[in-house]
Amino acid sequence: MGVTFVHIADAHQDDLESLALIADITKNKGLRNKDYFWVSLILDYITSLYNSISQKEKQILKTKNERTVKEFIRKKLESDDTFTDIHFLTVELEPQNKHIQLLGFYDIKIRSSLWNNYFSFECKCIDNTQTSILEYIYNPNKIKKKEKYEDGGIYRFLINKYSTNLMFGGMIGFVQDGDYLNIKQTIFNKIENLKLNSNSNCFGELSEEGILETDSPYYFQSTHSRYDVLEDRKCEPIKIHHFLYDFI
Amino acid sequence: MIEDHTSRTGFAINNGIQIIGSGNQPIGWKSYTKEAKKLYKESLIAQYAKEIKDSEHCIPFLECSNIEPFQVIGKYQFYKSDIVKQKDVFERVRTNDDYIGERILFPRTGTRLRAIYANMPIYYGFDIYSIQLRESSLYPLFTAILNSDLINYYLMIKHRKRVSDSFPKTTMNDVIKLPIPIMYDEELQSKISLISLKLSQGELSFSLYRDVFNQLIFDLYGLSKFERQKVTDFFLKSKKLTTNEIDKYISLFIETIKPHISEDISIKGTKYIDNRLVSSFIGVKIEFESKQEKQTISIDRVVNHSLMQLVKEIGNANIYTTKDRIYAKNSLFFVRENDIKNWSKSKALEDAKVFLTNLLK
Repeated sequence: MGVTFVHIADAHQDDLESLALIADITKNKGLRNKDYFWVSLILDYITSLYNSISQKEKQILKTKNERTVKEFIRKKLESDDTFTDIHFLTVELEPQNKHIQLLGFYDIKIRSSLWNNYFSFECKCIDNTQTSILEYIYNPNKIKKKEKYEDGGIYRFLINKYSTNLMFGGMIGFVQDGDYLNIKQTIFNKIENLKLNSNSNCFGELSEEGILETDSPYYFQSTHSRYDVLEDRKCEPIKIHHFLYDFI
Repeated sequence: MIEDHTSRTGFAINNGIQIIGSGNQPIGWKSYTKEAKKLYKESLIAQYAKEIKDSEHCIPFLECSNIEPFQVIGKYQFYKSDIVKQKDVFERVRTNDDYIGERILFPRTGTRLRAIYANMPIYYGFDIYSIQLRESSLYPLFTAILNSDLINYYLMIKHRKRVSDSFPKTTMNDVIKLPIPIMYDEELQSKISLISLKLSQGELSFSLYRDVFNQLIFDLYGLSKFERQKVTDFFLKSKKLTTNEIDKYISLFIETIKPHISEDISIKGTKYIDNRLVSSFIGVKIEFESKQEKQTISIDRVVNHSLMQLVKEIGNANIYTTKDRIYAKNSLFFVRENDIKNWSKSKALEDAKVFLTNLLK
């Protein structure tokens, strides 16, 4: 008589109850909900990643093909054993966003099976043209298939389309051409003057603390008021973490 | 990327030809006995083909059994160069152009995908597909991708129709849908292409270079350490473990969970092998010891209990469902059959991940 064993891989309720008995052994209780821990961990990884890019790799990444840079980032992050095997982090390229009505696709989504939330990044190739900078922030007159609409990297976070109901998100600019410092200053100016409107509700303005620069010249933060244009409601402000990778 | 310069649809995957098909059977074929059919085929082949290549019979006809990764093996027949004039023997003949030029050939049957690169005229059987690429320089790289463990793993998990018998295992659609890596590392691509060419030309042995070659394909797709291990372990052959291999499983499990466990807890692993039943079983106990509490249940007691339950409950049923993971106060037990597939490195990583994910819920 043949006997087939069917192993149950996933934990059932009984298991979870039994596990509660030994839950005290964990070092970091409540890790699943500690957004600040995961956000700063992921930011550290993204900063280290940029610092580890060689000159030779920068030459490869000096491309208008955004997907090549995104794939490079994914490979680089996932080749770090600590990233994958200790923190169980994974990188997804172009997964669908979580807003019920505003359909979109994140460029990069980082998540962990030990965390309840995720960190999404929007990526943009930037040069010294006005259009590329508008694409990074907010382009009121984007035209696609003869249709005009509002779009832009930061804009997608500000309308709650990206990082829906989360208080953090990320932008990664790949500066490919032009004067890096000039481009950075233009982005600062545009962010400082950003003001959006929907149904006579103002949103998108920078918080009073302004743009927060850090020790790294390639990383800064901006916090903005936020408004869900489809659900017609105010949201909690969002802090956007900006990385401007210099590939010039 | 998979595209034919003559195709409007963009895909250039074709089937091969068949010796005697429904389109070129003689009258009364259905009433032929099995033996008569065989004799008819043999006489037709003798009339059209030669076992040794000569100036007239110069095009090989390959069947699935002739294709191994990168290499053509075994015996095959040679036919004349104008296939259109050989419709008595071959069915599904298209034009002579379909059998010349660069292409990759791979059978749709067999336990794994095997591909060869061809750059000379070849006739090939109905169960063999041919792919033509727009970018000629990519042939060696794409042949390598198709022969890799990674693609075989992917096809097996996602698309495989049946594990055994002669029903087609891989379809055209499966191959069209294969994920193609975003390629920017020219150095890596060249390295893989060079190895692929040398394997095709017989300068390197596939069995000797298989591991190196598979690692390069993992690099091309940018797989993480865990993903690499998972694919590698998928192709492990079933066998019983040595005690050293069980220790490796325990070490890797502990090493993976340790960063998430409080420093004042010591983690201890114990193993137990039970050979009393027809199938051998292994039990592993992971104990979390604090100064306050000590765990007393031993792993042999847990394995014994699991096996007793098993014997008691099998009865007349031929399916038995068991949990392979048991939690007790301060301890975690695994009881599984003694097979390397159940205690591999990737299984240790996966078990650690599931344990931590649930522990932190």
